[in-house]
Amino acid sequence: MITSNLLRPYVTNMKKFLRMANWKLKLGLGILVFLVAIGILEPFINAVRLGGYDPMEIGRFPRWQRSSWEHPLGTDSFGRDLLAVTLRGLRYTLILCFLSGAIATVIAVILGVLSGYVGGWLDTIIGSFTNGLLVIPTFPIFLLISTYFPRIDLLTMCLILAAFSWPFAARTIRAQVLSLKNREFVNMAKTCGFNDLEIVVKEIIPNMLPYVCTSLAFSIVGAAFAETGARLLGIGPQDIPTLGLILNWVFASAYLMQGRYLEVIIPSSLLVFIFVSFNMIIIGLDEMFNPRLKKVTGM
Amino acid sequence: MNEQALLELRNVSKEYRVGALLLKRTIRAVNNVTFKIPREAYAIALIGESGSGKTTIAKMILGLLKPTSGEILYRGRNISEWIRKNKLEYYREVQPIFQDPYSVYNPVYRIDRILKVTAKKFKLAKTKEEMRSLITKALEDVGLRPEDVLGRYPHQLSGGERQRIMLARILMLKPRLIVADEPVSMIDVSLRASFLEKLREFKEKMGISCLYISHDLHSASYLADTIIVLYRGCIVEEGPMEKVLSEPLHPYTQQLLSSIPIPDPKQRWKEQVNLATLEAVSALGRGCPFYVRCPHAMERCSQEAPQLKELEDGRKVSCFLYY
Amino acid sequence: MPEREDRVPMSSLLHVEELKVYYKSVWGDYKAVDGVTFDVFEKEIFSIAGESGCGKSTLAEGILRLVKPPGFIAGGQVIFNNVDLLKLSEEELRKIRWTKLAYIPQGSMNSLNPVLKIKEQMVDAIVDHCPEMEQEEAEELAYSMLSEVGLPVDVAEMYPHQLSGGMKQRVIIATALALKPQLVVADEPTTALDVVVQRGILQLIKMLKEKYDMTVIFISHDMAAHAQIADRIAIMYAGKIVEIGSIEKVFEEPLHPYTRGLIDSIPTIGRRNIKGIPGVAPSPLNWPTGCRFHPRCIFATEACSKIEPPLEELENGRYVACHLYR
Repeated sequence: MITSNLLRPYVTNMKKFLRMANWKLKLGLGILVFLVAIGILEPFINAVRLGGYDPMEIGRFPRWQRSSWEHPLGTDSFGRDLLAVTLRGLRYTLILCFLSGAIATVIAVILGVLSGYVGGWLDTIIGSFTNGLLVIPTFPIFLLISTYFPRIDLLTMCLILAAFSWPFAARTIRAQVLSLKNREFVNMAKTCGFNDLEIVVKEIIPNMLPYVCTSLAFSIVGAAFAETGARLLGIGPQDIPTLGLILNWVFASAYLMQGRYLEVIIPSSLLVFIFVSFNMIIIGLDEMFNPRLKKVTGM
Repeated sequence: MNEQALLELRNVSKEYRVGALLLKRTIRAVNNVTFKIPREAYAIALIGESGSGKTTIAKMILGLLKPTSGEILYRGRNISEWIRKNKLEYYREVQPIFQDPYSVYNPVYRIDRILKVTAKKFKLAKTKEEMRSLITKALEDVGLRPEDVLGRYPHQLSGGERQRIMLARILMLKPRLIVADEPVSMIDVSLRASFLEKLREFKEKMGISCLYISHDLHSASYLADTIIVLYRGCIVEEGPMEKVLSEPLHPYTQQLLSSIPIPDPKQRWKEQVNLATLEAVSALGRGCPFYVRCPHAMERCSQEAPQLKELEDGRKVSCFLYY
Repeated sequence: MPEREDRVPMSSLLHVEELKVYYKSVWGDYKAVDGVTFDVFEKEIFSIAGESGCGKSTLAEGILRLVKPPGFIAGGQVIFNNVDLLKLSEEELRKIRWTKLAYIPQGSMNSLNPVLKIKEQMVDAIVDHCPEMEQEEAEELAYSMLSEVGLPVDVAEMYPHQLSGGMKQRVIIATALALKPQLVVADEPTTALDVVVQRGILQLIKMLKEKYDMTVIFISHDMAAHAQIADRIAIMYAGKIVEIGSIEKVFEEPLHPYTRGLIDSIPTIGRRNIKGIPGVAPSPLNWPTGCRFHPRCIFATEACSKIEPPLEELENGRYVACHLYR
């Protein structure tokens, strides 16, 4: 009863969004859904293709094979089927960026709301902390951490990425909260006897959903960028395949020079599609919530 | 029966500190305001323009802001105590009508939500059917058709309809005091009459008192028993409605009245007003705040600030012309 | 209206004929201005009165060709000085704007650039529309206009946030009138200003109009303001004009039931029983059939819901669109 009441505005809004979504949003979501579907189905695809063996297992297949029907992307220097590894890389990249984006957004919302709504000394403390983190060059720190702890697991990677992207989102969310808390409907809620928590959850956050969504999309893309960038420099756990890592191998072993174009194009295209789909989602969301950007009113 | 007033403001002031580190100034939005609403079924019109402090007073009475000094008593008890200890009971008895009929509604929800939430929070209905019939009846009573209004979003209704839904909400709650901050200034003129008529009905038939805050003396006359005129945070005149409107004492009240355009082409303004003096703001920091705009200003006015003094007939005025 | 063209008197500065301005939307066209015809004569203050949603602001934008998408001009003519504005090119239109036609939009006092000084903004506007003028000449003009509207010269060196609402509005008026246009369209120039300042601005507009022999189209929902400064008035309802006449005649004897309702709604002291108009304003997506006012009209007959009464001239200069007078 409580949850259904709490979720109802979100659900009805979601249905409203989908009905009024413009083509950019739909295309972006379409591509994303397709990629996520592959990521989810990957264990089954690989089980079927490889007969239940771990794609990362060394020496399973003959090394340095070029593209063939059996190994559409050939094999690498360790004898791993690259298509299998690429699919797993897609899966892990998606998990990584979704998870770290989500964690970053949750932290950003909590801190942004506390900072904006409570204000005063709490705002000053959280604000200084946020600004401090913003000033620290995150990428070098990330590289440092990755270098010192080469054998980290996926979850730790997510946490590290999240830790550096929440400050951006927190600032926008705080600004949103500041502008919303002075709106008349908040005063109205107060005269209905709402306490602060009710106001934040029922009045303020539902009005921030578009910003939180765009924030989430930005954090996800940011995480993908950061991870890929680090991988291309060779940083990060070598036993967890992500698209960035595959690209790193591909360039390190000069596949282009060998004329093995497919092995370069497929992983990079997958990455590009991830970025493109999120960007279309962000632009589509933006246009929907700023109807002035559109040519026809959808009042 | 004790003689305690329904609402009483005693020497209430509200100051704001503005500016950065070394340039901090204090602005007095509300300056030592004292008045009271003596009983039920009584309406006071608080007249003021921008910068007069009227909205600040409304917010303080509603517990949305705290006074810097002075106290606000509701039925004898300080408002901050009411809100701290019996918040829901306070709001059961004191309710607002805000100016902007759009921003009072959370755009994410349908318009019925505010009515349902009110019924639920204040326990006005025990079952769903009771709530639905309560809401339907209230909407019909204010002249709205429930089927036209329920289930809609705020942007799908007009300003007049939205403001009437606020009236329906008041009807559901039946508070003792309504604090109405410019309730009709953002709805069409042709709809104001029915709105004000409803407020008058609340007062006369249901005994609900009203603090009607506005810049428009004429619409206030529809409802008010007493008029209080505010200028830059201070009360400059207070008196019974007919007297203040027919015989304004304070030069500011006179200026206000003469500036309201008369809807008759045969009674056009004759004098040209001097805008430069009208908008001058006193930088003196002492003396009467109206000094620079006052056509009757005397030497004394620039040195001393006049106090609100009661005259023989019970009217109050804050002007050296009268003492 | 039969044979409008040959009945246009010579001194009509602006003749609007069946102007239609619609807004495109996913639900259909919002017919904000749906066939409006009227004349404005030289040197008069012509008022357009109406409540929210009647289309008066859209009408102003339509006349000046400032309609932006999703709005579009769906038909009609706007003949200014014997030239149809709707047929001019952007270049030709630019030459007339500010020099012959000026516009004071609603809420314009809040659209002053907060980071530029007043003087710079005024000079920018002047030079933009009168490229032959030298910088110093433009500055001189700016200063003289500021004193015309009663502002001290040091306002030129100030920023918008240092000025009060009334002062900002006077800056806007000074800028709009700098090149002494023939026709000024002022849309709600006094809303959001204090009542004492409103009187000052209205009197200022009237004074400047006399001094420079201008023609003013004054748009407002405030009937009392119209009573104070207008010469003739047009009442707008639901995208159409329902009554036109001299200000005295319209107030003394309002013909259209809506006009009567509007005048009766004005609260005045002593009138303890102000009336309103029952019902709600209709939606531009779906105007009522027949006479658009019929759902709210106490005199409505069956014919009113079926046939739309055209705006007809009853006597010299007096027009009304109502079956009661046919």
